[in-house]
Amino acid sequence: MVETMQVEELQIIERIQKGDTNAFSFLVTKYQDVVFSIALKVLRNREDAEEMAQETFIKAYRSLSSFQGKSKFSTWLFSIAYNTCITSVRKKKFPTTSIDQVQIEESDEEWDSFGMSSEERSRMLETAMKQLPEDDYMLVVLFYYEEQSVEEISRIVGMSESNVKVKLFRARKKLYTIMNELMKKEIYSEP
Amino acid sequence: MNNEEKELKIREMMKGIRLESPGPEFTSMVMGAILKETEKRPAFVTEPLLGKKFWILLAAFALLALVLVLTGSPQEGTGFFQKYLSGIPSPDLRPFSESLSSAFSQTGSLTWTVMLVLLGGSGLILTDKLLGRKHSVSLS
Repeated sequence: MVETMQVEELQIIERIQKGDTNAFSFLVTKYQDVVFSIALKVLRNREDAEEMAQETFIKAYRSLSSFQGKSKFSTWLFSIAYNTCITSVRKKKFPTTSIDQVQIEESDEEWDSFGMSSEERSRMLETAMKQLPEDDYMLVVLFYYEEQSVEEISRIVGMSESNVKVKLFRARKKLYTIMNELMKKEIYSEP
Repeated sequence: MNNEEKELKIREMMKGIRLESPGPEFTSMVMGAILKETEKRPAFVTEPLLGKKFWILLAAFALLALVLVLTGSPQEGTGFFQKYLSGIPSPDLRPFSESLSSAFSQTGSLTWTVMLVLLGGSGLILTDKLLGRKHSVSLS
């Protein structure tokens, strides 16, 4: 399934490289949410995030002739998005979220979602993700949502694989901590 | 629950989440900007770095070199030279060879290696200038 999608993407890229510019809209539609949500998390402003996401896609289009298909298109695109984010943050001097804002509990290795429907669980996960610091949010989205491998993420963010693994482990713990807090609030707020 | 199971559990939950989306006009905005840009310049022009003329010249030189190798050298007075070029009066190259030998005698203190490096460097700079002028790509 994943391989079929990659083959489909490569065929589209080939069409674009041959001059079919409109085929690029397929890739924009497919990846706009991931790119935009990462940008929004970093820039915290919809307008700026849309601008940054747009810049990412335009940069990707301009450099598409150099894309050789050695990595997944998504990995390549996300590395452009990541670098555009970094540049934007440096230019505008956005304050970044401190890691200490989410205190990791040693016990939060798991999350007991017993009795919740899958939809409720997903909504709670969405809420929890919004509370993650931006670097953790990015890693969680790339690893769990986009299913990028540790190796691919290390290429996107320019960190060593072991560093990515450690950061992912901490991000997952933070996610569980937040979700457990949300669960507690939910239980105590019930009439 | 081991690490892998935890990861699978989160991935399973992730399938149901909705990420933030940009405005409904986002795709058309991006495509509009891209199409505007491609109107100004062709999207991807695949121009060979070495043109047709270069390959024709190279082939001509290769052919000439092959003929020379196969037919001998002018000093030996054999083959190609004796057969076809013996009737052509040879130019007087003495002034040229004299100035060349005087130039070499003046630069005699320089080693051959330095001279070759200088020549090679100049050649590379010239090639870079020529190719850069013809194949420059605007990234703005």
